[in-house]
Amino acid sequence: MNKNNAEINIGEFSRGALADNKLRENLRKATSTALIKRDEAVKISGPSFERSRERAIAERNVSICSLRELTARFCKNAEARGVRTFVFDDYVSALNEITKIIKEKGAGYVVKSKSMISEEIGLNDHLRANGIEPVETDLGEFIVSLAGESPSHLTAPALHKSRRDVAELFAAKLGVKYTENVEELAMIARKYLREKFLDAKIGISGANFAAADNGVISIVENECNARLSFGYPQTHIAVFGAEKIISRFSEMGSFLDILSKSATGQIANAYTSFVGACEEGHERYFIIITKNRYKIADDPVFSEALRCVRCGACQNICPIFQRISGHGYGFTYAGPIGIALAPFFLGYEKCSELIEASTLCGFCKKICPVKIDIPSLILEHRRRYYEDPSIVKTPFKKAKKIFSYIHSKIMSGPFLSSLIPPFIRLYFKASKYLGGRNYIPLWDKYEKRHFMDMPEKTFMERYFKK
Amino acid sequence: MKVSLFVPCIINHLMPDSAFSAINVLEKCGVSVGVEKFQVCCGQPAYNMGIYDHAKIFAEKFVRLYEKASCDKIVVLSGSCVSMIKKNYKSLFLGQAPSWLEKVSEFSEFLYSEGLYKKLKLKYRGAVFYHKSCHLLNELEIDKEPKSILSSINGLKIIEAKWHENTCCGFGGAFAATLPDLSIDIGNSKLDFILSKGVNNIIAGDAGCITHLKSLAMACDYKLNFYYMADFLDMCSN
Repeated sequence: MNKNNAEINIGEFSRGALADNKLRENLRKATSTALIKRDEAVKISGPSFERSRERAIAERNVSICSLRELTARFCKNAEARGVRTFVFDDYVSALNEITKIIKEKGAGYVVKSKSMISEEIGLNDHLRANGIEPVETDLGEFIVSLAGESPSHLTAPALHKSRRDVAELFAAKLGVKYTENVEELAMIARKYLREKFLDAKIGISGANFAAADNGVISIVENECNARLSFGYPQTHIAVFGAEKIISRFSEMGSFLDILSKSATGQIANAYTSFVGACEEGHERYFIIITKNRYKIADDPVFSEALRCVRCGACQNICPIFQRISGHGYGFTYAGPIGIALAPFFLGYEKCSELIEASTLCGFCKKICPVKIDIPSLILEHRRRYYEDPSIVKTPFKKAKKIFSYIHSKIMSGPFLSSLIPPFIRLYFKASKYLGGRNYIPLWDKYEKRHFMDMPEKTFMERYFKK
Repeated sequence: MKVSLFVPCIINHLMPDSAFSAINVLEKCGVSVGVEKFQVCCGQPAYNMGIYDHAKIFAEKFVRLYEKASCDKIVVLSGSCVSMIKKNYKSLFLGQAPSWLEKVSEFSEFLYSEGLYKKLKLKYRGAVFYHKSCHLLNELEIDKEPKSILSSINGLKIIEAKWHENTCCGFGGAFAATLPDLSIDIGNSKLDFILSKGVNNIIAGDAGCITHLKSLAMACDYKLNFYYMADFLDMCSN
C-alpha cells in the first residue's frame, strides 16, 4: 500500500528516476528482454495462445459477476478438504488473524513465497512489529527485502536492479565474497534460505488462481521456493484476493497458459502446484481478502479490471513504467493496471496525478492477455475525478478545467476560433521580441523543447480565401 | 467519389500545407474534395482530460455539421481524431451516436480501402522511418493500410521499429504539459532510436506526433525531415 498519506507525485519521482542512468539502463534492459521473450513464447504457441485468452476472458467475465457467491463456494469446498478458510474485508482483521496463527505455533519467523497481496495489506511491517521475522524466499523478493525496498514489478520484484547491484548488496548484507556470477549469487541466496526452510514452522504464500468448484489454489513459480514454503513447514497460510477465484477448476489451464507466456515468456512455468489438500499433521489456512474487490466487481465500467492475472506485461510495455519502475507509482500494483485500480484503494485526492500518468498510447491494452481496455479505464477515472463534486480538486486540475472551459467556448465556434490564430501569432511575436522564443506556459522547457513557429495563415484562412 | 475533408486543429493551425497536400493526393486519385467551412475541433482534448461536458459540446457540433453534409466519406487527417469520433463519441452520447459516423475514415485507411492509392504514381529514392502513431495502431488497428501505401512507393526503403521497440512518441496531449519530463524523455528516446537507424526522414500518421517530435528535434538541432503521411505521398507523386 501507499505508505504515506501524501498525494502520489509522479512528476517529482520521474525527475529523479530520469537522472539516474544506471536505473534507466536496468529498466530498459529488463523490460525489453521480457517483451522479446513474451513475443517469442506467443509466436511459438500459435493460435493456442489466442484460444486461452478467449477462454480466460469468458471465464473471468462469468466469475466476476458472482464473486460473492464464488467466494462462499470456494470456502465451503476448501473446508471440506480440511483447509481452514477466512474471508476479511479489512486488512487489520486479516493481519491479526495471521499473527494469531503464527503466535499459536510459536514461530519466530516465517518463510514467504512471492505475494503481492502481502505488500498490499502490509504484512511484512505488521509481522516485524509483532516480533516475527518475514523471510522472503523468492530470489527477487529476497533481494529487495535485503535492500529494504519494495518490489518494483508485479512478477519481477528486483527488475530495477542489475547483476552488479545484487553482487554489491549480497557482499554488504550477507558478508559473502563479491561475485557477479549469477549462478554463484543464486547459490548464496539458496544456501542462506535453505537453512531457513529447514527450521521453518510456518510458510506463507499467495495464490495465482483459486477454483471455487473444488477449493484448490494454484501457485506458479520458477525457483521451487513456493513449494518449500507451502509444503515443508507444518503450517501453510495462503493469502489472496477474492478476485483470484474462478468458477471452474477446468478453466485454470487457460489462465496458467496466458500467465506464464505474458509474464516471463515461458511456455510453462518451471513449477505449477495445485494446493488444496491437507496432509496428516499439517495445517493449511486460506485467508481471502475482499477489500474493494466486490466494489470493483459491481462497477459497470471497472469490473473488467478484475480480469487481471497480474502478469506485468502492461508494465513491461508502458513507456512510463519503463522510466520510473513500480516505485514511481506509490501503490502496490504499479503500471497501467495499477492506475486503473489505485483510486479504489487510495481515493481520488491522492491519485489526481497518478491518473494522468498515461499517454493513452494503448500498448497495454494490446498486450494484456485478458484484453483489459486500460486506457478507457484511465479515462473513466479522469472523468469521475471531475464529475464528483465531493473531490477536492488540486489547483492544477482546476486550471485544466478552466482551460478546457475556455477552449470549449472559443474553439467550438468557427467565428471565435478564427480569431485565435492571429492572436497567437501576435503573442508569439511579442514573446519572441521579449524573450527570444515562442513561450508557452507549461509547454516551455526551452533547453529541451522548442515550440514551432505558427505559419502566417491557417489552412482555413488560406482555403476559403480563394 | 465525393469526400468531405476534416482538418484537425494541429494541421489547421501549425501544418496547413499538409491539408493542401492531402487535397492534392485525393484529387490525383480522382476524388472530389470538399471542406466544411464551419468545422471545429473534435473535442479530444477535453475528453482526454476527463471533462466530458466540454467534449460533448464539440461532439454535438460535429454531428450537427456533418449530418447534413452530402458526401460519401468524411476523411480525417488524424488517427486520434478518428478514434475520438468513432469510438469515444459513443460513450459521450451514451450509445446513441448516429450510425453515419461510420462514414468517417482516416486518410490512409480511405486511400487503402478504395484501392485509390494504386492510381498514384509514386516514386522516391531513399529511406524513411515510419512512425506508427498509437491511436492509429492500437485504437483503430490501422497498420497494414499505411504500410501497403508506403510499400507501393517505387524506390522507397521503409524502416520500422520492431514491435517491442515501437513506442509512443510521448506526446499524449495534455500529458505533455502535465508530466513534461517524462513526455520529453519518451520523445527523445524515440528520436535517438530513429537516428540510430541512420534515417533522417520521418513519416507519421498523426500531426500530434510530428509537432511533439519536431519540438524536441529543434531543441537538439537535429536535421530531421518530418512528413505527415499526405505530405510524403504528395511529394512522391510529383
